[in-house]
Amino acid sequence: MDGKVLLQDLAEGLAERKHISKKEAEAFVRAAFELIEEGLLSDQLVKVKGIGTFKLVTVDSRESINVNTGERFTIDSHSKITFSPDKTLSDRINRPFADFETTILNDGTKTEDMERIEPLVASVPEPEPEIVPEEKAEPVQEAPAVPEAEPVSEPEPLPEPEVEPVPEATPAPEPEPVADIAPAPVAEPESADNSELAPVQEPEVAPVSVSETTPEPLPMPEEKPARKSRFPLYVGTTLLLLLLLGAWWFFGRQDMKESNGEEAVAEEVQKKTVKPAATVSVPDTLMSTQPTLSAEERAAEYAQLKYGEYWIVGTLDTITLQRGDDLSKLALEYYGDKKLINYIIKHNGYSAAQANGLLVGARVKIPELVKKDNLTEKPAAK
Amino acid sequence: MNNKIFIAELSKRVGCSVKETTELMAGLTAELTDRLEEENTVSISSFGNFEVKKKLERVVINPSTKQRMLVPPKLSLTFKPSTILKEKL
Repeated sequence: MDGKVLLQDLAEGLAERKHISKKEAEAFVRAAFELIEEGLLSDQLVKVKGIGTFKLVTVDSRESINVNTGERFTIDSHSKITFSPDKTLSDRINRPFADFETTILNDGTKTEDMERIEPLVASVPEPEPEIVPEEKAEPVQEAPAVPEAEPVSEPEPLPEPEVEPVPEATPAPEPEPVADIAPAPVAEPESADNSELAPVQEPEVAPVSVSETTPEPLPMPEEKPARKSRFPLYVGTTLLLLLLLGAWWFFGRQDMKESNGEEAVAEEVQKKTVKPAATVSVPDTLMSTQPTLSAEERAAEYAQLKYGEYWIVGTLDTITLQRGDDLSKLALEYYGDKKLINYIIKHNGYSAAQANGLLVGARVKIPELVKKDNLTEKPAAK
Repeated sequence: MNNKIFIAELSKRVGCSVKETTELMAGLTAELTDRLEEENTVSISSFGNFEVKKKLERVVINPSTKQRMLVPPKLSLTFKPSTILKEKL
């Protein structure tokens, strides 16, 4: 395999092939190379069939610097030999790799992306836990004063509405955890009755709060199918299991409740929804929904993202941030790529810090993107 | 100097007919190719070294179309003239 092949070895091989004496062969090989040499000197170019072209190329004199002393000196013009192998020869040498061809890479396939795909795949299951905290976040705010005794029971009520559209489902889940934890309302259902009649304030606040809180459960079901479609099946099944579990919990609860009387439930609904209203209106940064990333980490993540593949040609949509929304989630929804979040940030003129601290209810413009591709100029805004 | 002249000149020097020389030359190139194909280095002391080098695959961008292309790895033959030959030039 390795090791040098000398002129003698070549001559030996040639002697075997042509059935001539080694001496003759060696003389011939020597003569051949000498002739190439002479031909080069006289003609500056020698073409040998099956081997290639030897060429003399003159190199102009140029200035250079002595690396050791730093002195400038000129390299005299000289000629050098270039060799370009014959097509047949280079093809034969390259035969092990002959099957490869130069392929055009699409814009989407970046070599960095190839490495990135693995972490992406690995992170696929992640969004699932993400959803859970989101669900959790809501009940927690509904009962802020409540001790954290039952965080487990809280995520369950929300999935409920999806499983079975029980008429009272949407309002019911919210008061429920509170009712469990805070026995106070149960004790004074009558006082609630009174409050309904006497102070007009409460009922007034209640509807408002309901309208405020109800939009929240609504977007959730919308997003979920979109997400599910991207997740592997097993994520979907685990979600289903979770929902079923939630349903089971919910009914267990309701049975207990029934002993308290259905009226009490209705009353609590109104009473409790007042509380969430107050807390929901308290501006809560979106960060709270994703406690896993610190602000610095996110800022760093944003800094890594690059602009350049798309043009922003206009505003596609303007949306109001809901609880649980996240710019990267929006990017995923609108463009199918979380990484494009930077365009949203850029379009809204946010700094990284601002992007991290967006409040619920903030208006976010979703830019319309056009792939740059071969366009060298920004297309006119639509 | 093309192949025809080269063969003619060589036949004169070796003292064989042009036909014989052509055959011998074909034998030499075949031998050289075979050796090189085995990824050997062929070194002719007074002339220079023929060496097979492996070039790794790489991504290039066409400057005019901005297209990214993946160039496959390949084996290429390089020739490095010996110092003796260089001095003669």
